[in-house]
Amino acid sequence: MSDQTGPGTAGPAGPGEGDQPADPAQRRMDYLGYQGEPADKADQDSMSSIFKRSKHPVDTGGHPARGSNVSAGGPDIPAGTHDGPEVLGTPPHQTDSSREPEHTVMRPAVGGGHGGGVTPRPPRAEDVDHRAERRAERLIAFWFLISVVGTIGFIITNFVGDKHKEYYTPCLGSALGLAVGGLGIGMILWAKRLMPHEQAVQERHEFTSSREDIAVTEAEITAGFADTGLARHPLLRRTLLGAGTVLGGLVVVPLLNLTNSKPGKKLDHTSWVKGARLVTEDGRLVKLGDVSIGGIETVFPAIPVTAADGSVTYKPKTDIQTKADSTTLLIRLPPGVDRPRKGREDWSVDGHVAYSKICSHAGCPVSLYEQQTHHLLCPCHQSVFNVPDGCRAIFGPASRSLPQLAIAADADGYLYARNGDYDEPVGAAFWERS
Amino acid sequence: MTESSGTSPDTPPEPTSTAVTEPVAAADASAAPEPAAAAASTAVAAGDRSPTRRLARRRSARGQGQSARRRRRSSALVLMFGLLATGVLWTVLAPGGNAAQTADANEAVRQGRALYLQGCSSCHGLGGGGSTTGPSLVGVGAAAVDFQVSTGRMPLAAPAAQADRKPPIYSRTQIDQLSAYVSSLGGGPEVPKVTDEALNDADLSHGGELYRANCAQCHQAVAQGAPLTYGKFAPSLNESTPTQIIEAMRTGPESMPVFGDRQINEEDAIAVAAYVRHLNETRSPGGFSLGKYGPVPEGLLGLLVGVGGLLAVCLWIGARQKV
Amino acid sequence: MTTAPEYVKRPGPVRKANRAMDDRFGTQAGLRRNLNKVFPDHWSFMIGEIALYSFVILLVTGIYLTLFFDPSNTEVIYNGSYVPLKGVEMSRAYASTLDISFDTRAGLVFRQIHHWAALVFVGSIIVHLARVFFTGAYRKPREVNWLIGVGLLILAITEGFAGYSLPDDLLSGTGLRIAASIAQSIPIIGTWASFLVFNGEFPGANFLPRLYVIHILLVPGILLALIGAHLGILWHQKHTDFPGPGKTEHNVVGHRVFPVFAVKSGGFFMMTFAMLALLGGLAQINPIWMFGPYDPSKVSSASQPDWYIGFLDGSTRLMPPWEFRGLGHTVPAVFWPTAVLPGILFTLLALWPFLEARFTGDTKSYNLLQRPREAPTRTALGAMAISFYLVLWISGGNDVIAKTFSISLNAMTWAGRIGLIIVPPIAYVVTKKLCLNLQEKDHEVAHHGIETGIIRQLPTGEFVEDHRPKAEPTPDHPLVPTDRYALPSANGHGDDGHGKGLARRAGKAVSGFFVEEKEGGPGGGRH
Repeated sequence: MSDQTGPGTAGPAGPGEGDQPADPAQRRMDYLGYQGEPADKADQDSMSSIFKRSKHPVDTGGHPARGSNVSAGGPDIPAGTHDGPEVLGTPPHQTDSSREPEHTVMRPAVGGGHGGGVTPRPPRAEDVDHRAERRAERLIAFWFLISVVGTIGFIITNFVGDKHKEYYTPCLGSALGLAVGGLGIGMILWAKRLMPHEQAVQERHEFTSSREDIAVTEAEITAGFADTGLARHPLLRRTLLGAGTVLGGLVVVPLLNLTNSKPGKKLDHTSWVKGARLVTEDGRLVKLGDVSIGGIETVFPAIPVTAADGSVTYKPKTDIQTKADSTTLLIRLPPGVDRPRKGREDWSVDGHVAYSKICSHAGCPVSLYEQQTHHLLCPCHQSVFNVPDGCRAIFGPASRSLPQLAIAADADGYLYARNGDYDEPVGAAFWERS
Repeated sequence: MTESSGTSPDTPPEPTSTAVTEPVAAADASAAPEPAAAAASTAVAAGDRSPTRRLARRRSARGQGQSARRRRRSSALVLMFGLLATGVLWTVLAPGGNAAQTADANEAVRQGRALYLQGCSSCHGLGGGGSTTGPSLVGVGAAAVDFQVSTGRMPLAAPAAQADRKPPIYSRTQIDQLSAYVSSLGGGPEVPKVTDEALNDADLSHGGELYRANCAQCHQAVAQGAPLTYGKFAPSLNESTPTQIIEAMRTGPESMPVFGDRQINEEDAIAVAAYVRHLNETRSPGGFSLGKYGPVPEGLLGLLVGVGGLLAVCLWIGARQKV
Repeated sequence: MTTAPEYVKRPGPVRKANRAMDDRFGTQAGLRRNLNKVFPDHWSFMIGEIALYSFVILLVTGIYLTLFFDPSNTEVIYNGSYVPLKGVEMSRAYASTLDISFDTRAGLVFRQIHHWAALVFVGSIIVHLARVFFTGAYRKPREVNWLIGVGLLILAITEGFAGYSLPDDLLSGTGLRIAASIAQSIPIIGTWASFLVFNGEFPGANFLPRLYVIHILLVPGILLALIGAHLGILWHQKHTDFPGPGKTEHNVVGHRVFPVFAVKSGGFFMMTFAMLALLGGLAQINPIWMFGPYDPSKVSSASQPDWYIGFLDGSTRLMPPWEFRGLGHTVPAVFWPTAVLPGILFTLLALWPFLEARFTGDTKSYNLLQRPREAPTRTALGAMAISFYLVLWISGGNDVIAKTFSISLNAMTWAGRIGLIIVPPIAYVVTKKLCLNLQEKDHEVAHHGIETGIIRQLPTGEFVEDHRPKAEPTPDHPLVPTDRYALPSANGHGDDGHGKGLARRAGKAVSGFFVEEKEGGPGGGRH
């Protein structure tokens, strides 16, 4: 620690010299609240760990904060040691190296305040110049008037404007924006320019109550609790606890009443039945040849209904409930491309294959068919299915192939579900799915 | 048979250049007026000592009066006979098209073939049968060619995951000729006839339902396009004409599935095209449409402009210096 | 402080009203205390206000929308003024939203303001959370407020999801389908959970009225209560502040509520409203007429949830297809990124103040904030969390990015998967280093002063650079006591050991007032 005197030099004094150490450098450090240098510059630990530093907190006065334990570890309060100036270069010839011991080469700070007063800044124009004040007032008034214009604009557009024209909503929004924005800008300018710029200081108080307070309160509660007699009557206590717990569990009951439809086996079945024909959303029953090679079509079940006279009509089922699980994608692959899985050789006809459109990942309709690669992409989370390979999942988060619907063509060429429903649950997986 | 010059295929080939040997052989060079005129002018230009000049002198020395007139008449007749013969032989011996086609259609096919050989055959084969670098065009139809070439996708600028729309390099006539040629190879979907009235009369809401059922999953709800796997994509339809849209449906270009007319009939196809036209032309009632791409640009704007702008206001309010 | 003012014997109307209320409720002391409350005025303390004001605007515009919206699943044929949907079958909810957008005066603009306000609401909550986190404002005694804040975040996200699902359009309906599948994926109780919420197998019977009640009654009610508690705690504990001239752990320096803070805040409310009004009028949002009504067999590409759910969409897209099957049961792959991951993230977030207190062993109370660089580990962990969130969020829009920048979709997925693992640790290390270096730099400046660039040669031959000490920070506005007028019989109090600066003296002069007010209480009275 140097005690050099001379122009512009000052050595930081140690801490604990009082609340307002006279030395500017020390005060500077105190204000910034820094811990000072670590005892060993190479000891990054003390600086690096907030955990260590926090064990030894320092308040902005630069003093150990209340409750901090100086010996708890962490860096010491600065003793004022420092490196001194960094030597930038030395000419090659050195006579004798009576190198000066470290000192800080400092120039005096410009206008450095002492004693914690207010920095003298030029006063705000509005405070001293009446013309500036009135200019500010006029500016604020201008913005308030803009607000009025906006309000009137909103009213006019709302009632007179044609809501089917393209200008209607933008005009309303802009007018409303002007109406409130004008007020807002005016108010902020008013606060910034015309209201006094002093800073108020309010004392905070510790929240922790005094020991007497705590003692008295705890005693009151204990006494009150003793009055309840719970401590003395274990049967009362236990049955109360039991009844309370059980009653609390009652809250679950209204939640369980939320549905009459129990899961059961519902997720395992769709609306497809044996003999149901494939029908489009428009009601057209799908025949062989309707879909071109390389084409796809979304189909739903048309349930066969036998009339009294034995004739069969097909009722399309395209309501939303059916669509949610029975939507099926009919794809016509070019000849020779399909490689059916074992046992599924007769599930397709003439290149026509049918798979569930409900993604096995999270239930979105898988519908982006790439005609040349025969891949099916789901747009929600980018799962990719390989159609010729039984719609196996080959990319993305889906882990199961899409369920296949076995189809065949009847004598008239209409496509129908030959085996009835899918052989596994469609859509996203769930706990009970094996 | 004969080769035409490839430099200016748009202009009909001059008769003189194709019928290069016959009329000259058939007609007497000295009697034919045009070559004679040419010869005379060259004779005048060349000077007295050239052989043509001597010939002309001998002719003029010989031919005054009646014999000259007779000779001129006969040379005209010979010329006309030569031209007629050329024309008949040409019609009979020229490569055929559809016998039912008119002469114009034949012409289109012929021109189309010429264009094809020059610009397409290196990938699609000399006879349209395909090669290792390009698929066969037999049976793809005029619609496919019209689509690919009018959107500029073909000729392909460079091999890529997918062909991009770019400014077409062929004119409308050339595209029609190419389409005619490819159609002549093996048939296929015709270029659809889409009139403005048909589009205006179309059922827009039905077109919308069809669009959402068949197209929105790839081309996005508002026809802005979306990616497919491995660098492919379903393009935005902002620049697509109704004809191109229907052609794409019928021919299934690249990754797009084929929507044949037994699946979506002509009226429905026009409805879909009308709906896409509506999507492209309609103005957004709610203000600036942010690319019509949904929650992603909306979220970005809400955070950057909404929250960011308000943070800027915070900075203004909290600023110490006078503002 | 000036002398005590006179009692005005002939009151005007305003004073009369004041005294009428005081006769009935005894308002004067409370009024004074609250109007003179001091709030620090750093700009970053206003971010929470953005959220508060957005919420108010959500309430106001939401009420307008409830007057027109019909939350019913009943199918109708549309016959309004939007031609491309005429004759199309749709739910009443969707049809009434179309009516609001096209056939109601100011319907579309308020619908759009409402939706933009929701986006800004959640966005400002997250920015506010980041500010609180990086400045350490959640430390004791404010942990409870932190917990309330995290609860507010979760509720705001839920509320937004419910809100944009109400119109029953194709985009939000797809999101509901995914939500049902997520519920279904929970082990053991999943199918029950999904069936109970949706009243049956998706789409369930009459789900929209339930969603409506959640959106306009249940969640807003809880939000109002929690916001009230959040503000009440803040009011009672007083706002934290950055260290600075005149500021200590035991005071708060700033503006009084009345008039400056109130006017600035009121102006800021107007500005928030203006920003949302401009967005609502000039930038189209959620054009449901372009998506069409919800149909489980249809979907549009580029289907995303609103931005604040985007990180869950991203985690779902990136998750590899790891499904556990065995013993007749399945744990679907979608369970982990959509149910487990947000559970872990929000739990960690909520418990963070307690975790930090445990690991640092620091149980002190703090009213002063820290600059982020002063807590390098916390800041680095926060940067790590943000980078993790950002990778997920960007992956939620990976198809839009793939289309816009012509990048392969599969490459985007892999980039997200790998990025999720390697980006956060890199963010941690880089941020930590940055914080430490900034600390060193501050230390250098504090210790050696600012470099002036003037090089001198010492007599011994070395060259050194001159430094100039950094000017001490001092307040640039005069510091005044909270109360402008003293009550006549304020007691003086001795020095309580906090120093003799002007701030201290002013503060002490005020404390007598508080002590005097609570004279009767045990322990000498605390505020």
